[in-house]
Amino acid sequence: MKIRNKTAIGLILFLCSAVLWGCGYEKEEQSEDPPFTIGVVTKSRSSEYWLTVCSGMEKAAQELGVQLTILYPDTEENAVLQQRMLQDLIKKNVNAIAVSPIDSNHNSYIEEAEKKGIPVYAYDTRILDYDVPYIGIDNRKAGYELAEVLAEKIGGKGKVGIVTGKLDQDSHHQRLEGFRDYIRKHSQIQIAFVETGYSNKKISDKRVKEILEANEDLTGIMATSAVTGLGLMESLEGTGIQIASIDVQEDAIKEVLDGNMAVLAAQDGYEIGYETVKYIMADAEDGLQGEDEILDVAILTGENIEDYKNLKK
Amino acid sequence: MLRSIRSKVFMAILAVTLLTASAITLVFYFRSAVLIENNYTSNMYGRTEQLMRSMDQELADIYFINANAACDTSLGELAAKYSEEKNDTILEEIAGILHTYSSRNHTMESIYMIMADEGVTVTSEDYPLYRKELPADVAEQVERLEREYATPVVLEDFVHSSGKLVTFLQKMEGRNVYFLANINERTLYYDYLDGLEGDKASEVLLVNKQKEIISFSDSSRAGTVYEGTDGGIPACSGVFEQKKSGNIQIFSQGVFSECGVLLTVPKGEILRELNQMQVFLILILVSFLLLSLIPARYIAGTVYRPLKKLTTAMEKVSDGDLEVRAEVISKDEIGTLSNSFNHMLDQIEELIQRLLTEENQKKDAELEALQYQITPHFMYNTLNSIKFAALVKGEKELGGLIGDFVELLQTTISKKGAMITVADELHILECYLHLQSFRYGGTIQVKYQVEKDAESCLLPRLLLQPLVENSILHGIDLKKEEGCITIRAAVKDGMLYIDVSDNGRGMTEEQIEGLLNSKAKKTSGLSAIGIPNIRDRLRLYYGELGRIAYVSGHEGTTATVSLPENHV
Repeated sequence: MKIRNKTAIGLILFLCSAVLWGCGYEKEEQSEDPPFTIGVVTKSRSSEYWLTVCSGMEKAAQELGVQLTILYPDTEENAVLQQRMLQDLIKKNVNAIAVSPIDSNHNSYIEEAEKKGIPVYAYDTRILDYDVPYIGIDNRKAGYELAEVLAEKIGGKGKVGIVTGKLDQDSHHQRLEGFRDYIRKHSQIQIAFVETGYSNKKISDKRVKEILEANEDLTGIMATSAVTGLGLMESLEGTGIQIASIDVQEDAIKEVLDGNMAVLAAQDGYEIGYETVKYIMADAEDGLQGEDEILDVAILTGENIEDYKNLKK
Repeated sequence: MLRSIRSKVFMAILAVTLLTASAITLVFYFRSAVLIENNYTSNMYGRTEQLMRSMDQELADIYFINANAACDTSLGELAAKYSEEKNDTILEEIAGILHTYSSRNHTMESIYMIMADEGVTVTSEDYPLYRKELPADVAEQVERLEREYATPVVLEDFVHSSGKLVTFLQKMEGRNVYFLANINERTLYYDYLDGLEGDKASEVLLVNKQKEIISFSDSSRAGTVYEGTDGGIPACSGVFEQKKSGNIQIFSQGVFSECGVLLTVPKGEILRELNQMQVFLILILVSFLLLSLIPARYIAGTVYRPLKKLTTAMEKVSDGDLEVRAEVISKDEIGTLSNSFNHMLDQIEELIQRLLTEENQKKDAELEALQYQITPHFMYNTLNSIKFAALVKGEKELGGLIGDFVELLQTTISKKGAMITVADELHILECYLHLQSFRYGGTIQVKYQVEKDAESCLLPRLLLQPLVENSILHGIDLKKEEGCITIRAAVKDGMLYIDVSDNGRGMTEEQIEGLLNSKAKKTSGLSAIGIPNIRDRLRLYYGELGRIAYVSGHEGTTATVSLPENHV
């Protein structure tokens, strides 16, 4: 009898709790803390490279539960506007700032950020006048390796030219230096010209024509950005001049695959963006003592481009 | 109220039905409430988030235009030129460039370029192209706001002196020149917020990070600090429940502008339709209850019917009718009980029958045994014949003794009535004493002091003989010939008092006590009747009024019997 009573009481309690559970509210718990916000300033958003950088950042932000405020000047040359945007981010009291500086040598806003305790990180391009962590590829090494492949393609002799972005952007400067370093030390190739000021910007047909007229026996050109390289390729179609370039974007890869572009240093924008956000969050949580994070760069030619594509898949 | 099993079963079924239906209704109601609330809030949050994202995008676009304008070197050069020349055509040229910038975005109403040093404001509008009197407090306010905020702020429209502007501020690098990208507060409200203010939301507003209202249905509140009912503005996007006011806050904040749309909805409004359903649910509950009356009545009846039959049968049995049997109509426990009850009745009947048979058999056996006994009349007649033979032979004393013995036998053996008169009882005593005197060879003196009224009184037969016998056996000394027994009978106050006194050696208290309470059957005297038997008979016939008492001393012993006076 006692056992029956216990069973009955147990059953009633179970039913009561089931009813209460049934009546209960299912409120999702929400954190009341404002999310960690990273203020990001790119050089521009006009090329696929920068779109992939933003995409990588957004993916990492989504995974880590952080907010991004992405600001971008209209061109890769508007350093004043970029600095204004950085100042506005500081006014907004974001938790961290990631910048790809248009001018690697003038970054006084960093002092203001430091005053407010906002850490600044450089990605894609180094900041030279202040000591801030850098996330990106070794640009000098990329330029060096590009020169190595291009020299091989043109037989280690002849004339090459260099079309680079603005040299106050350290990434372009390093690529140029690395390229020049190899050519000088390891080949009999002559560097015929260095054109600067083309940061992700096509060189005009008129200017190409002028260059060709001045250098009739030109065998190769190295462009420090893919947009510039692709522009050159269009202008030089049928001349047999070998093109070396940098940055991963679909159209550039296709040109390597088709044999129109000799060599491409695969600076993966998505990876840089993704790793930058991850680095900032790791630093915020654990403190990384300002060490740089150097990402791998693959040198793509007609021979290994298929493997690269498969790897990326 | 719940006396019968039928009503108990009926009420139990109703209670279970009511409980189950109430529980289901409650669960259904509360689950629905949660579901409706969650659906509404997630739907509204989605809408708010989407709206905020699009507004944030629009605000970012305006910010970019303004920042670009502030970095426009041609505007910088024109500003410098105006500082030197103070030529109004330069202002018109600036207005033209500003117009180009402002026309890049449709939400943006205008761009104002303030040359603080000159006190001139150039606009992107058709009219006025510029204003030259810039109030000092406005210049000061613009300078302060630009220094502190990169997000939109609310400003009174100092150019048109009416309405409120939601403005992004930028300062030109190296110059005291400010750019204000303006959005009409009403445009923001009607383009974005108005759509959210449906029939449920009690309040929709756009606030910035500083809790300042950017846009609200009542435009006069734009620019003031928001003071909510409780809790104020949430720190991040989400759905929040305000415990005090019972409101739901839906808040979505733009990442770029840091402004947020805050939607306040009273919980009651969300559940209004469900509350209307309460009446419907109660009706369903009542209908279920009423419907359940029919099966409840049927089930209660089914359970009760066999029980009722058994109860009726039991009641008849308890009234003495052993012939009745319970009708068995079910195979359950009650069926078993009815069967057992019927079986028990069968057994009882059989037992009674057997007892009656045995009793009759016993009586027959006793009668048979009596037939072998000598009848008393044979004995009396024989003794009388002996008596007359003795008288004929001249043995008068022997004849008298036999006559007394016959009388004594007749009285003791006769079964004719339990009561006799005092006179008859005294006559028996005389016979007895005569025989005892002969037997012991001594003389017993007997004195009779009997009132006339007492003689005809009735008393239980052989009441006095044991008392006299007791005096002879335990009181007087027969050999000394001094023994005297006095028998007194008197009537007083409706009571008959009879004393039997002797002058013997007397009795101790213990002896009297033993005499009155001895349970041993007497075997030595005339009859088997002892003193306790006298006491018992007196109590049986007369209750408390019939008594016997002994008083003893050196002069002898007196036994007194008292009983109500009762004549023939």
